[in-house]
Amino acid sequence: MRRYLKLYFLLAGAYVRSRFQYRLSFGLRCVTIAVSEACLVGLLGVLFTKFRAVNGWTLAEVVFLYGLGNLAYSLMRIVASQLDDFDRYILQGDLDSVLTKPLPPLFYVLSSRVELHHVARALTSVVIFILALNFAQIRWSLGVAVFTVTTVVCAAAIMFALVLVSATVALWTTKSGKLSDLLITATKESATFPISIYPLAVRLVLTFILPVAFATYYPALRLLQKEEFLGMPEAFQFGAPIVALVMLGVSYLFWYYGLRRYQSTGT
Amino acid sequence: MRKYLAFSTKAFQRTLTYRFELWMELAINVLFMLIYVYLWKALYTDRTSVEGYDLNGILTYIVISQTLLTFVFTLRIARMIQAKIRAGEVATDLMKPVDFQMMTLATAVGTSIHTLLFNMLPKIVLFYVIFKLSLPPSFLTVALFILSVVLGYVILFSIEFIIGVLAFWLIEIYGIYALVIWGLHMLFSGYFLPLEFYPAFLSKVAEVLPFRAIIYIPTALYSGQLAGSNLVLSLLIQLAWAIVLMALGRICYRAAFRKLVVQGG
Repeated sequence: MRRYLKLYFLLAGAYVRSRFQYRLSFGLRCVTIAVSEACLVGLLGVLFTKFRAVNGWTLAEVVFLYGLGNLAYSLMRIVASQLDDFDRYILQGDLDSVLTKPLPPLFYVLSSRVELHHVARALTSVVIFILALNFAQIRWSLGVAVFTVTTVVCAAAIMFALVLVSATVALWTTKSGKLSDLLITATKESATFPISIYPLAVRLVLTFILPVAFATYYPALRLLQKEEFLGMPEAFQFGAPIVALVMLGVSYLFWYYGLRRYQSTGT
Repeated sequence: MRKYLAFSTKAFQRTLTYRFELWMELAINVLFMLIYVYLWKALYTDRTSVEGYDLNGILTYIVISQTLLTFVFTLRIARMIQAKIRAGEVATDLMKPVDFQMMTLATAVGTSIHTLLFNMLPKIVLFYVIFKLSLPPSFLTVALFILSVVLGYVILFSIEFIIGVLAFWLIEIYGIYALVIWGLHMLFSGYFLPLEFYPAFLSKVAEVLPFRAIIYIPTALYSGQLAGSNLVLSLLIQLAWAIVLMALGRICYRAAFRKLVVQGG
């Protein structure tokens, strides 16, 4: 374990250092991420000046939900930036060289690129999240803090599993385009709003197939002390850790299975 | 004219190469539009009309504005110009007996016609079938809508063109591009909600910027929100912005080409 941590920082550190050659471009990226996030929250704010609430959710509560999802998403992106164009590895034959390394392939792939500008997104989300926490009048206690941190970590894990599965598809199809990026942005975006706005079919998909509702909506119900379980068991508010573990297991098995039957493109 | 047509055809054919990605893009666009449609349905549950938009009106507005937003996502003109400058390809472009701005516009139009046919039209038809949206009031409205979309497109193009040409001085334009398109445009184009819904001071800001001419004006026109002198005025504003920004783009690239030194090639 310690060896892997050390290796991770060594490999990722090398990449980060190489990126810091272009400090201005990095800084600009961070600023633009922060600006576009702020604009989105601004638009939500404009929307809610006209409409006080959506399905009983106030601006602060929606922004809280958005912040939760976005924070998890940005944490996931820091770790998994390499997976959004994973098909590059197969197209250019880089995966063959990864397979010859004396390290688990997934570990090597993940540690070879870490995009730090996602830290800017994470920081913006933290600020947005904390502001929303205040406005949503959530009472702080140790229990709430532990629950929030666990939720964010589990949410990031669930999103990571989704990205890993969609990246793995490229092992069969060779080219997968922006499949994983698109899939995760769409699911994340749909979890920005309380899922009670969607018809049953969409809610079922977001609960059982692309289970981001476990990452954001159900835990948010607990933190905001809402009772809108929409016919689902109330225990779902604590579901994030279990769903995260199951999703991580399934996605890793899928990845492993994909690698086992992978044949190089020969380039 | 014919030589520019050749650029459009080429660009059109180039986009055909990446079919899988285009399908993915379409699927995701549809998902996003569904999210917004359900959001607005929920917002309107106990209301009949807000600022002159009833539920049907607002859904039509959202579907049209989200569809027009596709142009913004797929244009990529600024990035293309930057890439040309970096690779020194502008040197060969300069040798061609064509106007650089017009050539770029022709390329953009080629790509966008593809987007229009295989992404935007299917989306509109799909949402019309599912959600039974309202049709524009008259045939004249449709005609004016098309005119307004074209003007909005020229404005979007010229903004991207100017940003792209800035790469002659700045080398890296990503930051400015993102600030203008993902910041200002997102806030003031009216893609997310009609500008009538904005608080007074924000709509004042929106009024003096060109961004509302890209999405808001055509969409509001289509939804029947603009009528009479208001409609004529809006179209004139679009025309004025189109001319001013095209001219500004021209001034920028002329200035850029005067200072351009291509090393080797």
